[in-house]
Formats: sequence, structure tokens, C-alpha cells
Amino acid sequence: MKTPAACVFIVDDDEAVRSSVRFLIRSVGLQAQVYRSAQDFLAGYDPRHPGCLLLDVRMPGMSGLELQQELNRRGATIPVVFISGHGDVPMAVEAMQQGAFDFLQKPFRDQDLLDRVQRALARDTESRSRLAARAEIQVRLATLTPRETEVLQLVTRGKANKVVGAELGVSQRTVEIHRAHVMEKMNASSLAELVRMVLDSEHPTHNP
Amino acid sequence: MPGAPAVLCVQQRDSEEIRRVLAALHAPIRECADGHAAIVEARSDPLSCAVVPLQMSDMDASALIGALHEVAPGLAVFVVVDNPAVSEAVLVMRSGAHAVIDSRILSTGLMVHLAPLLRAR
Repeated sequence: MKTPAACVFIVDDDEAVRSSVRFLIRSVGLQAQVYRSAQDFLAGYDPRHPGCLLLDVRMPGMSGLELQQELNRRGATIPVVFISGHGDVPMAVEAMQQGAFDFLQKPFRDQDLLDRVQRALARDTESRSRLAARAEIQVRLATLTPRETEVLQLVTRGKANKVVGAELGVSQRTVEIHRAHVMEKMNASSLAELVRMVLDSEHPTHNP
Repeated sequence: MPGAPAVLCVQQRDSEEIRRVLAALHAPIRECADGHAAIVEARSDPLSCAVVPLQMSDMDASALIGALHEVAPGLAVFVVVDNPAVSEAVLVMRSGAHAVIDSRILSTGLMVHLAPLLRAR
């Protein structure tokens, strides 16, 4: 399935802000979609769609901060840039503590907003490619036989083939054959790369 | 509580007020003169958190947060700022601060941010 182009999702209850920000975003060749409320955004949001979220803090009904919490609860990784006309320091701190990518006060210069949008889109691209790489590693790990998985676990802990063989009750030659299969199936060119793959799969947040 | 990790306070103009709040929270305190001394402290003993000003004599808060997180990953660092602007607070948060505390409401800010953290630890 072809990945859709990145989109800047704009959620603001102020029609004038929605229109002007959408115009600005589209003026630099980016896609933009607008929503008048947090609920409308949640109803239409597909987390597979790459992009970033420009979010007003204060809106009737669900606030921007509440929408951010809901996205966090759902495990969404979309970068959130808050835009607020009533922003104060505690509000900005809370938004950043919850993982906001940035917080911009109205009125802002067009270029300031565009710079933040570009950085947020770059962040989204990075995190999506990292997640895709982890998923690919999981797929490769699933192709290993139980014995190959045992060998993988032991060699990535730094154990020599001879030691692995002794622990598993097989010959060193058998370990070498399993190890070669592991390297091939995991598409790893070195032990260091194999270790990195295992670390990535075991600790998916160690390199957020 | 004996043996509880200390709160590290770096080069604070209002250190007396901080001492008072931390005493009320029953939190031990360690004080040091600048950023480099703070890094040495963080290396030597576990800390519950750190309270630092935006600018120290030898480095700014962002540099110190980075250095502290090298030696104590995840350490909560609170940055005290005089009358902070939102943009300033956002920059400090982006550099890894746990929270920004407005020096004009120092006691309240410390209570609000440190109490839950110290309780949790």
C-alpha cells in the first residue's frame, strides 16, 4: 500500500485561524486538513497517515491538552505543535511534559510556524522509519527456529561459539551453522549489527 | 527520611527560600556553586532531582541538563527562571528540563512540582 503524502492537521475552533494557517501551509506545497474541534479530528484521524498536528490549546469541548492526552493514550506518535493565543508558562510546560513537539504563541511570524512544521514533519518521518525498521526486525526474528533464537540470544550476549555449544549441549560446528543461518535470516553483516537489532527489538524506546 | 537521595540545588539566589521549602518536604538538600560542581555531585551520589537557575557562572541550564543526564539519565531537573516568557520556557523544556519554575512564585512552584516527585520516590 502506498504511503499517503504527509499532511499538516490543523485543529482550531477559530475559522479565521483555520483558513489562514491552511493557506500558509498550502502556500509551501504541503497538504493541510482542518478540523473545528478535537472530537472532529479524532473521528477522522488515521494514525497511519504521516504528518504533524497544529493544535489550539483552548477549544470548547475537548481542549488541545486533552486531545494530546488522548493521542498519548492511543500510542499515537504524531508530533504536536501547540498554537495558542492565551498561552502561559504552566500551560506550555504541561504540554511539553506530555510530549508536545513545540508550543507557539499567537501572533506568530509565518516563517516561525513553517519552520516548526518542517521540523515536526522531519521528526515524524524519522520516527516512522524507526518504527518500520523495528517491525522489520520483528518479522526477521519470527523466521528463526527455536534453536536459532537460543543461539542468537547467547551470541549477542558476547558468548563465544564454544561456550554457546557447551551451554546448549551441541558441538561448536553446529553452533557455527546455526549462527550463519541467524546472520542470513536477520540480514546482519556483523555481530555488532545483530546486537543492535536485538537491542532495538527488546528496548524499543532506548533510541526514541 | 534517613538515606533518601538529596535534592541538588545549584547556585540559587533564593537558596534560603528553597531550603525552607525542602525542609517542609523533609527532603535532604545538597548545594553547589556552579554547573561543574553539580556534575561532580551527580556522579558521586544518587539524587532525587536538581534545581538549577537558567544561567550559572560557568554554563547555562541546557548545557547542565545535558551533562547531568549523561551521568544520571532521567534525573528530573527543575529550572528556575525570572519572569519566563513562554518561548523561553519551551526552549528549556526542549532541552530536557522536567519543569520550569517561575522565580516570582518559587515556593509554590517548588511545592507543586517537587512534592509529587519526592512522594513517588
